[in-house]
Amino acid sequence: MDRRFVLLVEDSADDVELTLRALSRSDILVEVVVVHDGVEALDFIFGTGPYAGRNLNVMPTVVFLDLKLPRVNGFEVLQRIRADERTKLLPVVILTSSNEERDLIRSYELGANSYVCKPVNYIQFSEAIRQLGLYWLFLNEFPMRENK
Amino acid sequence: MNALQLFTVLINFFAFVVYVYLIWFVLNLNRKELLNRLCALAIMPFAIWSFAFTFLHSASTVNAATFWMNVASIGWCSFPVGVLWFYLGFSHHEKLLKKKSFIAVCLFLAAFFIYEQWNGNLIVDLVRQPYGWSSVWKISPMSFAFSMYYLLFVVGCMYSALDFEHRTNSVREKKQARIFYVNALVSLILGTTTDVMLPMLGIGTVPPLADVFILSWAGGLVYAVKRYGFMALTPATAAEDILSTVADSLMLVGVDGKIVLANKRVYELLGYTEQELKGKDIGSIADGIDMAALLESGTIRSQELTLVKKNGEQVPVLFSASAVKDQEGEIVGIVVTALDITEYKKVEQELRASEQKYRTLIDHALVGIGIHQDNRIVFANRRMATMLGYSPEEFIGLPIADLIHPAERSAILSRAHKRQSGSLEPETYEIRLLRKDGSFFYALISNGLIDYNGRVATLITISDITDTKARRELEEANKELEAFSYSVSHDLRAPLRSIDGFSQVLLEDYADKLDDQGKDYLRRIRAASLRMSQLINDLLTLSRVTRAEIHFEEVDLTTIVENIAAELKERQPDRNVKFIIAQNVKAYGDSHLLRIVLENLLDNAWKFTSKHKDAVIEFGAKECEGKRVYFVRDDGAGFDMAYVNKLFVPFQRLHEQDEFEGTGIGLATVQRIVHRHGGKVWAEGEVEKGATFYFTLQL
Repeated sequence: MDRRFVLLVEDSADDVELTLRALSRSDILVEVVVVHDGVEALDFIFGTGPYAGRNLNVMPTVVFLDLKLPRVNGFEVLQRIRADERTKLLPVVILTSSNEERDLIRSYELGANSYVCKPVNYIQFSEAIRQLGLYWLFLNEFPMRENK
Repeated sequence: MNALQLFTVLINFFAFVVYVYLIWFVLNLNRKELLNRLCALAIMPFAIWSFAFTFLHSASTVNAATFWMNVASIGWCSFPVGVLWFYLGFSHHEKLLKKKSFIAVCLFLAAFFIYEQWNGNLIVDLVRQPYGWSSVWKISPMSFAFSMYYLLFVVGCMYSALDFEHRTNSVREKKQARIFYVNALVSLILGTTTDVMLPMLGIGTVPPLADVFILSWAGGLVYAVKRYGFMALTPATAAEDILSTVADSLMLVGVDGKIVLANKRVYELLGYTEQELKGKDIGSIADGIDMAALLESGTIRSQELTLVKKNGEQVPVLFSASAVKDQEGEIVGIVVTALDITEYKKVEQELRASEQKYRTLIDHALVGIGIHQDNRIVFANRRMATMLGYSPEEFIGLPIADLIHPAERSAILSRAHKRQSGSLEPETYEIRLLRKDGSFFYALISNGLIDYNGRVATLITISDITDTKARRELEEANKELEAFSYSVSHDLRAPLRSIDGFSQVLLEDYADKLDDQGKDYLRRIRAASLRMSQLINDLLTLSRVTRAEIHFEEVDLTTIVENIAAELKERQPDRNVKFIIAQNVKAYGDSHLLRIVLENLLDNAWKFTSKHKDAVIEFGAKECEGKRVYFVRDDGAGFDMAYVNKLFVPFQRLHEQDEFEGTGIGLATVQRIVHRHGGKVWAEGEVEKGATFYFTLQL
C-alpha cells in the first residue's frame, strides 16, 4: 500500500510546531516525519545512523527542506539527494526564511522542485503550508517507483 | 656771323630740339609714372639753357648777350636740382622726394643762384670770341658757393646711382644705374670744364658747350630705355626681374651638361661667383643626376637630391628639370630649378623624432589608448589590444560592439553616437569590457573627440580597475555587508515568525480564556512583529541597492510610472486619484533600481494623498541648468520645509505611524540609488499643499 508522508527538515522547534499546526488545521491528514538537522535528514533518507535498517522502498512523498541547518546545511542535503540514483527524482521543496536571490538560484541549480519563503505573518504562513500540502500530496503526479 | 659762330649756334639749337623731343618721348612712354615726370623735369633746364645759348651766341651786343645769359641761368642754375630729383626717383628714394623741406631747400638754392646771376654776382662779363661769347666769372665767395652747390648735387647723383646699383637685385636695374652714373660723370665733367672751370681760369677760347655735352647723358638715357626697358616694362625685362627675384634656384643647362646661366639665388645658395659657375658641369654640383636619362625623357619632376656647395657642404633640394626645345623639337637646353629644402628636412626630422617619442609613449603607456571611428577601432596601442586579449594586428578594424559587455552594449553605442553628433555626454565612466575569450572585466573609460583623417572620431583611454585598491576595499566591504544581510535575511525573521505565529495561535486556540484587553495586547504584539518584518525587508532592500551592480541602459520611465500607477489603482480602486504622466520620458540607468526609485516616490505620493478625497499625482521631467530633472509631485499632506533635511535619513519619519504607516527607509533607498547613478535628489513641500520630489541622474 502506498504510504504518503512528508519529511520536514527543520531545526527550529517553533517552526516545526507552527508548520504541524498549520497542516493539521488545514484538514490535511498526513504523516509528518520531522528531523532537526542535515545529518539526520540524510540518515533518514539513506537509512544510515539511527535509521539503519529502514525500508528504503518507503520514501517521503515530499521533503520540506530548510536551508540554514546545523552540521550539514540544506544545499548539501539537496545535493546528496540529487546525486543518489535512488532519490534523484525525490520532490524537494525549499522552505526557508530567506528570500535572497542567490539562495533561490542555488536551490534551483541544485534541482529543487520549489522554493517558498516562509512569511512572518502567521496567517499567510498557514495559507502557504496548506497550499503546499495540497499541491504536493494530492495534486502533484509522480512517476511510479519500481517495486523491489 | 662766321662759320664757327654758326656752328655754335646750330649745335645749341640742335641740342634744344633734342631736349624737347626727349621730354615728349619720356612723357609719352608713361605719363603717369613719377620717374618719367622727374625725367622730363630734369631735361627741362637743359632745354632752356640750349635755347638761350642759341640766341646768346648769335647776339651782336654785350647787352643782348647778357640778357640771354640771364635766361640761360634759369637752366644752368636749376638743372642740378632736376637731375638730383630724377636720380633719387630712379634709386627709389621716394620718401625723401616727398619731404617738403627737402623740396623747398632745393628750389630755394636754384632760385637763389638765378637771383645772384641776375644781380651780376656770378658771371660778370661776356667777352666776344670767334665762336660767340665767353663768360667771365666773378672771383668771389658767391662763385665758389655756386661751384660747391654744383659739386654737392653731382656727388649726390653719383652716390645715389652707385648705392642703388649695389642695393638692387635686378640685373637690369644694375645695368641702368651703371649707364647713368658713367654718362652723368662724363657729361658733367666735360660740361663743368668748358663752362665753369676754363672761364674761371680765364680761358675763354674754348666754347662753353655744357648743355651740348649733357646730350651724352640724354643719349645714355635713351639707350637705357631702349636696351633695358627703362621707364617702360617689356616681357623680356619682366622675365629677368622674375628670375632674379624668385626664391628658387634657376639654371639653364646646355645639352652638354654645362651651366649656361644661373640666377642670383644659385650663387647665394652654392657660394660660387657667376664666372666660377658658368661652364661648370651640372653633374659636378648635383649629386646623382642622370644627364642621359634627362635628355631622353626631357623632364625630372620634384626629385630630392643634394647639391654640393663651393665649400663642399651639401644642400638637400627639390630638383626639377625640363628640356627646352627649338622649333624642330631638338633639345637645346634644360631649365633646372632647385628648391632649398634644408629647413623642411630639419622640420621633417624633428617631426619624425617627436612622432617616435609619442609612439613610444603611447606604446608603453599603462593604460589602453585607442581611437574609434564609425564604430570601429582605427587605432590602438599595444596595451589596449593585450588588455582585451587580441594581437595588435587583429585588433584594428574590430567593431567596438564586440568589446562591450552585452548588458551595456546598446546604451554605450548610442552614447558614443550621440557624443559624435555633438551631444554632451559623460566623459569618464565605468564600463564592462569583453575580452576575446568572452570573459569581461571592469574598466574606467575616458572619451574625447578628435579629428582623425579629417573626420570626427573618439579617442579612448582605458584602465583596468578590477584590481585597484579602492575596488578591492569596496568588494571586501560589500562581502561583509552581504554576509550580514544574508544572516539577517535568514535569522532575524524566524523569531518574528514565532512571535507572530504563537500570538495568532493564542488568539485562535485560547480565545475563550482571554478577555478583550488580552486579545488587544496580542494583536499589538502581532502588529509590532509585522512592522519589524517590514523594517527588515526594507533594510535588506536598502542594502541590496547599495551593493547591486548597476547595468546602464536606456530606461523608459514613462512606462514604469504607468505600470506602478496601475498597480496602485488596483490596490485601492475606491480612491479617486488622477495621474498626470509625461509621455516619452527616458533615462539612462539601471532599470531595476530606477523602478525602485519610482515605486518609492509614487507609493509615498499615493500614501500621503490618502487623507484627501481627490488627489493629483504628477510625473514629468524638465531641463534645469542644462540638466535633466525628473520629478514626482502630489497635492497631499506635504511636509514642513523646516524638516526637509531629515527626509532622506533612514528611519526618520515626519509623520506619526498611526497617521501614515511606513518604515522611513524608502527615501533613503531612493537617495542611495540616485547617488549611485551620479545624480541628486531633493524635495519641496508645504504642509497640506503637497510635496514634489526631484532627482537627476548622471552628470
